[in-house]
Amino acid sequence: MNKSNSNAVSTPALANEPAEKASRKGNLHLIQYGIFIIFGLYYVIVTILRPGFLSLGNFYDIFIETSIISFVSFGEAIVIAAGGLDLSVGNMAGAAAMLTCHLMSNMGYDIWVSIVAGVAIGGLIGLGNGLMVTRLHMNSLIATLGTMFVLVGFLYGITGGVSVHIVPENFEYLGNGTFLNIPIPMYIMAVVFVLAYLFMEKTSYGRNITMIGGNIEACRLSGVNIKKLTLMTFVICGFLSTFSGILLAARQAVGNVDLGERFLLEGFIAAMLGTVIFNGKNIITGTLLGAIFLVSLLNGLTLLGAGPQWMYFAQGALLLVAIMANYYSKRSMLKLPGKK
Amino acid sequence: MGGQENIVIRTEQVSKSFPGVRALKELDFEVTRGEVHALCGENGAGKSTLMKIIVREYVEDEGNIFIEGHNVEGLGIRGVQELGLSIIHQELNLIPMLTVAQNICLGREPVNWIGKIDWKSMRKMAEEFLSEVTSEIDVENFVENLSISEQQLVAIARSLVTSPRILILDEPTARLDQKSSDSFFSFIERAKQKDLTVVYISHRLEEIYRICDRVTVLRDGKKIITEQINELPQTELVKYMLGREITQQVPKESVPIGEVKLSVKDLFPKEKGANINFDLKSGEILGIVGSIGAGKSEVARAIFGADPKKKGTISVAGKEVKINTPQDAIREGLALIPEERRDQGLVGNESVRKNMTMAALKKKFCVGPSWIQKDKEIEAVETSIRTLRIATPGTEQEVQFLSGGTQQKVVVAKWLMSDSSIYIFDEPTKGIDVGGKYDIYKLIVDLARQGAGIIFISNELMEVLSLCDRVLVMFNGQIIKGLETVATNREELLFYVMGGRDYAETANNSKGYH
Repeated sequence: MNKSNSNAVSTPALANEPAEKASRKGNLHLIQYGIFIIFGLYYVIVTILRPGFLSLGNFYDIFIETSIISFVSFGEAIVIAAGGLDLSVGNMAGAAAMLTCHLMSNMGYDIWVSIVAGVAIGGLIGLGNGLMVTRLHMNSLIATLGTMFVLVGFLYGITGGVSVHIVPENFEYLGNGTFLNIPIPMYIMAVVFVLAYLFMEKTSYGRNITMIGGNIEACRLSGVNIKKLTLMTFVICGFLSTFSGILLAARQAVGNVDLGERFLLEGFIAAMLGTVIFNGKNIITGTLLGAIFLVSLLNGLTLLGAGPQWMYFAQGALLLVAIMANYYSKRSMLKLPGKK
Repeated sequence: MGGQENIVIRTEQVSKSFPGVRALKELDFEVTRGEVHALCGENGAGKSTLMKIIVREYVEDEGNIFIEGHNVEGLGIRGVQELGLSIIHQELNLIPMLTVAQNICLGREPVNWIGKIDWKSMRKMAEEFLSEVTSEIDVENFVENLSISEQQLVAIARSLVTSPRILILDEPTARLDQKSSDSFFSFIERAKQKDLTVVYISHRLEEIYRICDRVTVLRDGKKIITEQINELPQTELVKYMLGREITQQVPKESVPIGEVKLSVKDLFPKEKGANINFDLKSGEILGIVGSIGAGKSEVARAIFGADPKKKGTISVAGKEVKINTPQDAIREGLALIPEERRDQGLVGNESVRKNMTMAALKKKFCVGPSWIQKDKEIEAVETSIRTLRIATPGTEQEVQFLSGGTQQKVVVAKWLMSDSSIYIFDEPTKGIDVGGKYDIYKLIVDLARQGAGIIFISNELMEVLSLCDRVLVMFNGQIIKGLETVATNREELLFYVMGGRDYAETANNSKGYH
């Protein structure tokens, strides 16, 4: 924060904070620092047991993985910022990946045409989600849960569950190639991160989306266009989810039906952590950190030789911690002074 | 008056304090068997506190309370229920998605021998209790399908399930329409014949004089008088409620009044209210008073587009405008400072800056389609903080950590930034300390001086009288009286707020009593 801002204003009397409130504020900081401290300790332990954790090669692995899940996480974080939740992110990613692979491998379309089609389908599904929430007044959790199952069925139906194995080499380059020794997905992540950050922090859209998440009725009575902005969050989320799906297909060089399913849990964890890390502010940066934390946690566990069941265990536990921290910080904002 | 055994509720020297206020001071209060006893007093006089102590929701600091001769010390809410006491609160506690029968029998459902709910006897039981109050409601209907008025009747029927001998009603008719009120009054008549005792809290003169036998007036936590209702003229009752004249503290200034700014014609808000007509001129502060449930907020919200309206036209500066959403209203220069500022006016966990610029963000602080100019924003917010003397450590302080009065100023600052010219203040001083109130009054007068038109909705007659140029009195959803504040006084205003008719005549007639 710019120091001169807070000092420039001389005030007759400062609002005195009751001790209880101040201590709650203190606890909030404890949560935020706690996340950093716990991960810091974890890194130290993993490094002592498996020095390979600190190698450049491993860093590459962590950052490529982070790049792939970052898009879906940004999307989910934006939906959560406005007070919603999108459960269909994984399946939107899967649908986009399958459509892209199908178009270019089986139908022979140009790579870029196929990718644009894949991205567009995500935007369209997101639009559908958004319309259900804003026009039909459905709870976002329920609406996107429906979308999720519809997409699962639809994908199995049209593909018969068969994977697309042969993809063009140019496409694979998107996932596995490097430029100036840096993997391509990281460039894409960097660009999307900057755009998402600017959108959320520097534009009136992002500002109002965050405000809606804080108090929807106050926003409505202040003339904020709730419907338009809520719709926008779902479209953006659908759009960004496809990036994760398509890049993962490119990296694996395979498009399979259940490819996106992991993104729901991962995106949700990263977005939840992202919302807590800076206490609901600057969620895009928070989410990027959240994604890095999540990927490095799983990476460390792999190095330590943990099986997939423990991966699930760790992700579940992290999600619970993130939700609890989130609930706690939300509660501290909702418990306003003097409220009945 | 009957002997000792006929006194069903008796309080002796009861006192109760809350942090900063003495809500009740050595209060003696008696209710005799079979009477309908009205409890009157202005807001904050201690009526609800007294009732809550009697039903054991609060515990007194000092004094004794006897119900049917039993000292209630140590008894809980259920304990006094077993003594035959039942209360109907202002808030309805019904479950909307259950049927009327399920709500009435909630927690006391009749069961058959295997423990399954016996729907048939439940229906019968519900019908029995409901028929005491009304015959118009089907017990199989879902509560969410009922009007508010019908829901209130169901709530009353539910309170009868415990077979109470003493019923406490806290403003029961605030939610009732004419038809439901009639069935409610005949219920009270019948109940009286069955020796049911009723304590009746109300703000409506007509009702009090229609159904009550005696009245007790509270003021500032003290009992002022207990009297037979037919020995106390309406105007006298109002005088007892108000007490001595309080010296006014509001900075009243005469501001030149200009052209008509806002004109409301034949407005029917969807929730409550009918046929609202009035004009607001620039520089004018127009008060709207009325008791709880009179429909003041509903009118404000309908004008602002926050709630839908059945019909009505609104003109701003002589031009008819279409207002269906708050966005429409803001475009026409309207501003609403809502009643619940924390729930409706502010985003608690966001900064003073973001809250202040919320309504004008796109119009004033963005370049291009939506790029926020933070420097310009901070400058404007700092200026506002200085000119309105807003007590915040800085522009980035979260508003949830500010005091009530300061928060209210932030809400007003928000509308100043969006260049509003018609301000609707809905209970702006509720829950705000004296100093904070004074600042808000000053702010309102300043706005009027700058040519804004102001609607000032309040429950506190004093502040309305000293701040406003003109005042409209609402009763049961309608404007029943318009008064110039210089030509009226608190007694007259309260008389109309309580639904009285023709003050001058009533006051003259009452002289014969003394």
